[in-house]
Amino acid sequence: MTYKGFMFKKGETGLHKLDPRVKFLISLSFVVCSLLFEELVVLAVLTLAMVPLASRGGVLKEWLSTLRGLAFLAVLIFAINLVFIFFGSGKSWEFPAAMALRFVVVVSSFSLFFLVTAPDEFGLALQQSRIPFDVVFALTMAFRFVPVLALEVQSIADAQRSKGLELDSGNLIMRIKRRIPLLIPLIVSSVKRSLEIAEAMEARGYGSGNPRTSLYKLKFRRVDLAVTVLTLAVLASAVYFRLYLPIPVCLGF
Amino acid sequence: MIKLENVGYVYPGGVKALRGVSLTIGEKGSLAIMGRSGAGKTTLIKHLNGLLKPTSGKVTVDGVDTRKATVAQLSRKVGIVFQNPDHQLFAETVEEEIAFPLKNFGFPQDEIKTRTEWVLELFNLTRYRHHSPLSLSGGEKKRVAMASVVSWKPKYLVLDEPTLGQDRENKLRLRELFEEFMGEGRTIIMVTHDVEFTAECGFNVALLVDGKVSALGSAQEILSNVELLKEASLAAPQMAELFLELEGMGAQPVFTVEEAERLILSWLMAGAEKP
Repeated sequence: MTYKGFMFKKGETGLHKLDPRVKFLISLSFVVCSLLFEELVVLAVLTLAMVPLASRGGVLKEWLSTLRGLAFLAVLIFAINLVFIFFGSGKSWEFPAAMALRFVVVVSSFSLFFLVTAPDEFGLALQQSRIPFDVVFALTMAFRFVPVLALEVQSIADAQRSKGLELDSGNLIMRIKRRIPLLIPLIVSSVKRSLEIAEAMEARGYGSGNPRTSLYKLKFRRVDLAVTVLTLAVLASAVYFRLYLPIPVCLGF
Repeated sequence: MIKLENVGYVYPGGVKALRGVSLTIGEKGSLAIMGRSGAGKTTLIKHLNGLLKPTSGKVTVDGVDTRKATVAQLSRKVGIVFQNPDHQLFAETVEEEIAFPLKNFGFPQDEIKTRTEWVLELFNLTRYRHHSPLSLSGGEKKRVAMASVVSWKPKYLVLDEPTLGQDRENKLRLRELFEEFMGEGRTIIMVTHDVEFTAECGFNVALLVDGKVSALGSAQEILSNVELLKEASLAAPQMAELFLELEGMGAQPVFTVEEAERLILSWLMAGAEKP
């Protein structure tokens, strides 16, 4: 399942131990670079550059599952761009391919970030970057509950299939219609859960007005500083390349 | 007959939930599957209608291998009521909720009406028939979920924690339903932690410990064996515990409230007759 490519996987690798802000900067740099360039070669290099990172972080399998999950949308983006750009303006076929690859780089770089960053760590990073706690909390809760919701969908599907509901037969419209018995319990139980969580949080002093303290504080180590400098240097070089150097096209046509 | 032969199940994440479970659940029978949380009880019942297929071993329902049949086909015979009613209810009214599986299985309209009336009455839900099932209390939702499955009268009725949130009156109704079902030649299988209810129903008991059946026998045999129960994180029914304590004083083992009542009455009578 694609959502597994966005679920934190525990580990003790160097990538896991990096400050979450640095990891976010790395992912953001991939996104910025992918937006700076529309040449297929560069976008391919960017994608491949994530392979050793995912491998070092021990999350290559999960990261590849994200790529597999993206394949359908990537092909769709390629096809749409091919119709409107390649056949429309006669531009190189490289452009539609680059657009599809740009989408892959953007999504998979965030997949890599979430695979090696615990939701709580991510929340802590945002909180210590002075983002209001309510916003941070809503964001981290949303990420934390993705696997819970996935399990809930499974339980609901089990219950409905046990009452004779066939989910995987019939035409597209029939299949969509048959998913209504899954959607309603999912929405109802999600809303119910969020209300219960809110009540339980308030009962434990959430919103008491006192300044919040933290159990953990993020420490910016030397290695974090070194990786930050390196990432910023790569980013600066990318901007320089974009502005002053020609980028080769893939096959020259 | 449902037959589990050396069934093992490993979840995709690698958790071994069942380790070589062998069980035969006969027709007109009853079985309570008991054990601590996480022992594999729910995983086991999901094998009975093919929601889960064993990673090793084999499950057959009336001779049909569950690997070779769809969940819908098997569910016609094996009706499972899951623990959490919030995962099952979605229709606009209680009546519609109950009719949902009957429509799925292609029952004729008049039969749907008759069966809906029957279970509404049976589960004390008639006054809620036009209410949204989502607006009911926890115990009432649980009864709607049970009514919805009982409605198609499956040959094997499987219930996950049926007594959760039920008061005394509804537990009695449930017992009556079990007796009626078994009288019609059907089989009841329940997953429960409710030792009192199991003792009252007089079901056979399979104790599950770490994905294995550690003991199988009558309720009386299993639920009065303190050592076995301890292993499964359960306690004997209160009446059995009390009379086990009194055993040293010459009291004979007693299992249910009815038995205790009879025994105490006989003591009182004997005492009254004494000059």
